[in-house]
Amino acid sequence: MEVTMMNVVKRFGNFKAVDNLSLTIKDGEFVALLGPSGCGKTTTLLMLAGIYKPDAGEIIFDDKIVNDVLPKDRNIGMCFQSYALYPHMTVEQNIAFPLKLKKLPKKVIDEKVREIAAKFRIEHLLKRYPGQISGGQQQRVALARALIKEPNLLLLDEPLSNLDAGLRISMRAEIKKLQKELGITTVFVTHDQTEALSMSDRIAVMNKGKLQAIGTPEDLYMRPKNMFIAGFIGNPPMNFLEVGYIMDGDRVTLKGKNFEISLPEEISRTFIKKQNNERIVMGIRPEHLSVGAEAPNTIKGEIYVVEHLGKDKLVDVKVGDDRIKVLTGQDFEGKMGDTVNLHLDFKNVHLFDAADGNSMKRVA
Amino acid sequence: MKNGIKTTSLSRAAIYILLIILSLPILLGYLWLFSGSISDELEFGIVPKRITFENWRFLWSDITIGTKVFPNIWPITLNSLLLSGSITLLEVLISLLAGYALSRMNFPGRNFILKTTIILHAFPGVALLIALYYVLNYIGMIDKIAGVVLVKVALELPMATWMIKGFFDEISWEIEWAAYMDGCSRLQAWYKIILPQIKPGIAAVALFAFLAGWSEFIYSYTFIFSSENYTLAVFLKNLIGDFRFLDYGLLAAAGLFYMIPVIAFFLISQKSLATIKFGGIKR
Ligand SMILES: Nc1ncnc2c1ncn2[C@@H]1O[C@H](COP(=O)(O)OP(=O)(O)OP(=O)(O)O)[C@@H](O)[C@H]1O
Ligand SMILES: [Mg+2]
Repeated sequence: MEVTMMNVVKRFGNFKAVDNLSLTIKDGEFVALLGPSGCGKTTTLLMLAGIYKPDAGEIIFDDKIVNDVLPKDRNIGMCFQSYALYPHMTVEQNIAFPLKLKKLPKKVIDEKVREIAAKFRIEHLLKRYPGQISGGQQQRVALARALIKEPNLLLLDEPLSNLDAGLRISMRAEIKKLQKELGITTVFVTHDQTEALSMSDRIAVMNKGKLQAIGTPEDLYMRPKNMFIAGFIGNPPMNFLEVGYIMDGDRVTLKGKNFEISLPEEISRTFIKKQNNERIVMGIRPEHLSVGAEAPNTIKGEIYVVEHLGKDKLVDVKVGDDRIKVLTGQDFEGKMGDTVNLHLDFKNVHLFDAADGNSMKRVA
Repeated sequence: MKNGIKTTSLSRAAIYILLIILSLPILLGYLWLFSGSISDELEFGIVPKRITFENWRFLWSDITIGTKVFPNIWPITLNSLLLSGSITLLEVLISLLAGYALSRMNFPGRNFILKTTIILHAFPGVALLIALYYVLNYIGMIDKIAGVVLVKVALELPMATWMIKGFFDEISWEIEWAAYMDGCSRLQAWYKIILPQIKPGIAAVALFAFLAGWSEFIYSYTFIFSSENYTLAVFLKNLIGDFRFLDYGLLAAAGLFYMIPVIAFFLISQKSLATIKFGGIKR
């Protein structure tokens, strides 16, 4: 089922929780709604579910406007953040509940429950109550309950946030595989970008009720539209440095307080031009910086602290008042106080307008 | 030097002694009631001299005190059960619906209702006796058990609704939403998903409603005249009659009989009642 939201607005009193959101989700697509806490993700999901009614705009399933269709008539499976299992029913009764409401014959229900329980490996829990199973098991029960009626749309509200790290990674893969198998259009809410990047076909990034961008994980990572996306996607986050834009013929130089970087011509050509001396923001990810020998066109700084991340080391370098984070290999031997030279991978330098935060990349 | 343990056990003993002294009058009262009901004479106030079940004769025969003949107690007991049962049923049913609406829905006047329920509860019902008499008379409900039921339910409802609302408030929205997503209508979600979760609360409200109905006196006494519609409370009052022919043994036995359901209820539900917390302050 294709899902479209058109100029959807939801207010709570005077507060706009969702502000003019437009978004199309293709049939069978897995879309993540990503954004910081309180940005309106759950509210958006609840509007798709039919629990909240939009104050303006339209929600369209395939070709039908569903603004006024009750949740029970939308055929949506939903998994809540708290799982919301019915505590007075056994696991089996929980899973069977949607089918019971449809008045299917008991034999059919039993058959389907057994089938889906096998798929989620919860057969041995069927007779227990939700209070008697672990969080990960509850999560699988909630998924089974959401999926048993073969919904046209699956809504997941941070289903993995209560699980431990190991379980989270295995459930990620499982949900993704299941979604592709069943081909159900799915909206997945999360504030964990790793989850969004690893699971979804496309990511919709929200902030303060507004859709910031929607695109494939690669799009958002490689070509962020604005500083919010650039800073939000990617971990550890992108470094931002305020610089002056200096143009000398065709040569673009970025002048910081304590460094000066000249962009190679084939790179500077990909950005729109600015006034001489205008303040702009340069962004570069820690993984696109490296520590090397003293050379022109590098940034000189002093190591402030070195963090071990397991596979890598994250080096915090002090450049004047600025801090720049650099990802290095495990074999990096620098210590606090050492002077280092940072080399930039120019292909991955981003420039942003300091005033509105929009990317200066030319659209091809 | 005293050590900590000694002080606590000492002060604990003091607390027990105090409690015993404080509850002694009540205990003695009940003891008197019990001994009095099974003997024809008491020694030292509370020790039965000779055991007899003569005082319990109202259970198997009509009784006469002086010139007055009292009706058989069983139809009256049935009346009391009918009264309390109807009050319980109506009160629970209405408060479950109203409590849900107040807890879950937004409608004009909701806040006003919430604030006034408690005031309504504190309103002295006796002050309404005459007005209620006129109203009941007007709608043809005077001298009927149903009339007393209506009055009692109306007066008890605010408190019951307030309590039930508190229980509904504790149920997470997500559970209710999940029910909608699974295909429930609002009514189905209410009785299939939400009600089962507040069973203890419903039981508590039902218990209070029943006991309030069982001990109801002033309205039955005022609004009911025909002896076939008497309730136990009115029957007891009439036993006392005009004090000239007061039979204490009989009164004690009838009083005990009247208390049986109350005692039974508390023995059964004491444990589960203690575990319930009464919400209701939150909105
Ligand atoms: N029923 C409500 N009444 C008033 N304000 C609300 C209500 N529900 C949500 N809000 C507000 O709307 C905003 C968006 O809430 P929402 O629950 O959609 O956030 P979210 O993106 O899901 O956040 P989180 O990641 O913390 O779950 C928040 O600022 C919240 O305070
Ligand atoms: Mg949320």
